[in-house]
Amino acid sequence: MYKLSILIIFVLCIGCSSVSKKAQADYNEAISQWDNGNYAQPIFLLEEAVADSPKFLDAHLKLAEYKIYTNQTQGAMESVEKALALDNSKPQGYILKGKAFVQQDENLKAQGQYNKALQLEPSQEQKFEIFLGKAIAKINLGLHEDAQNNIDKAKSVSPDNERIIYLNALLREKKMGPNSLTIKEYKQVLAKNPTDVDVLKSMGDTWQQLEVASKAIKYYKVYLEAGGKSPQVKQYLDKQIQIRKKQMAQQQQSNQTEQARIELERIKAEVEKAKAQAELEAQKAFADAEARKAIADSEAQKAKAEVEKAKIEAESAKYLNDPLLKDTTQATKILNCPVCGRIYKDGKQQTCDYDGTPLIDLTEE
Amino acid sequence: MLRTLCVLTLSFVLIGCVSYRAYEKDTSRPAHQHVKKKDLKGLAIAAEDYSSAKKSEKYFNRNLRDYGYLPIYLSFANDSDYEYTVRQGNISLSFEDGSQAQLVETKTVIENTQNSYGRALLGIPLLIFPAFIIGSSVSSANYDLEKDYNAKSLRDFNILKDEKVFGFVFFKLPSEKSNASLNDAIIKINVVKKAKQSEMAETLEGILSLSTD
Repeated sequence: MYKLSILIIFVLCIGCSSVSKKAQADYNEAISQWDNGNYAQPIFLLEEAVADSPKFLDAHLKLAEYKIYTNQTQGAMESVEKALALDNSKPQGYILKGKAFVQQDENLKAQGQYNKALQLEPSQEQKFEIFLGKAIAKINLGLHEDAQNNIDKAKSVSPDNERIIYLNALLREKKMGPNSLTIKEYKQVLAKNPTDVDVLKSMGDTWQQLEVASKAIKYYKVYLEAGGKSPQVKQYLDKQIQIRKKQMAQQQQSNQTEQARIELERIKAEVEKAKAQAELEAQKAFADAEARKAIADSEAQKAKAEVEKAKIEAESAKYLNDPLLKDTTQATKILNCPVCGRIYKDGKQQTCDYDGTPLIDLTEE
Repeated sequence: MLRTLCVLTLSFVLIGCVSYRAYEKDTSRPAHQHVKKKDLKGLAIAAEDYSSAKKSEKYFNRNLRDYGYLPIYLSFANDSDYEYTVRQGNISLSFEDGSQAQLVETKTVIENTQNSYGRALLGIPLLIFPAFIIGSSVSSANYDLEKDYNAKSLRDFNILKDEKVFGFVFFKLPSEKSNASLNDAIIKINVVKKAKQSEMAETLEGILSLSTD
């Protein structure tokens, strides 16, 4: 009878369990997939788990955690509220609510949630998360001294955690702006955990501040691949896409202009060349023409000379060939005085009238 | 019988008599010497919580939290070449849950923290003379309180280069937060940096946490 009672109670306990086997399986599968770097499916599985077993506290909390990680803050807040409605005596719900508030830039409210968590005897691990969360909220509020206090508290809980290195680097950057030491420490943390979304985002932010867009884009892309969903990051990348589109368009336009310029230069050069060629040819033609003209002139001169010669010859021939002028033997002798030069045309006088000098025949000279 | 009557009368007189004694405001530590401070382009601002019972008793002769007020001590030091304007209306206090405390005028704090003349009535059943003495002491204490609170409070002011300004502002403590900690509370102060030749005037926002040391 006693054994039967125990059995009945056991069966009732199983029957009354708030978590179904399917929900538990979904929960386990979600965690397994998440740990393997699959960030989308686990949220879906957990949503199924809580739909199946609405009182599954761990599933609500895990769902909130994953939604915070993927920046689905509103959904995370709803999951946290459901978890806190089920059990508000555990610190985890308040820690997650604090994180969600930080994501919503409600840093002051986040402090309140972290303080509530602190009052609920958190584990060492949770204490570490609380102090880190408070430090982040303080950094966001610009309260650097308070942030440092909380980082120191976190360090006292877990001295070797690389998140301490990260937050110290972040705080240094907030105090003095981007600097090489901060970048070095970010890299140090990333070397251990290459998919740490906070560090990846901070690294991108640093390069963004330094206006080195290529590096900022590089880290933001890894951040998105790792599951980060910050709207600011997406906004920055959208802006960069626009800038690059514009740059490309400008480059294209510049290339086209350059090509057109080169083409114009080429055409100009060709025109110049053609012009020079034409000029050369013109000069050549001119020279040819000149030469031809000179030749023609020369020939004309020659012809003219020949004509002249011919004319003279013809004229001479007229006289030379004139039969009337052929016989000149009968011509009257013209005599002259070799001393005084007096001429005597009759041909009959023998001596000069003036001095008596004998005359000589002038035509025979 | 007479001895008892004398003791009783003395007791009533002692209970009824009041006086006001408080420390002067501490101007020995300018804003830029505080660990928790905010620098707004050369104007250093620091805020201290004086709402603990010990500090409040020391500087206001009573625990102002019991009256529902939070005294916050602000110090300003201008290390810049600019002139700044600070107005009480631009100072706010927010608790860690994001809710705000309302700034109250010093006059209101004085009115609600002054000694009551009801004490003087204690003397009436015995003798008129002691009641008069008690009434007079209440008046005197109230006068001292009013004078001191006014002297300590922060008014709207302009701060020039190398000047330092100190003073208290008072916030109404919501009843549901009577024991609220101010460890994670913040003070928000908007100051106006005045225009200068080629530069425009500018409103700067400073968020400070409260020193409790």
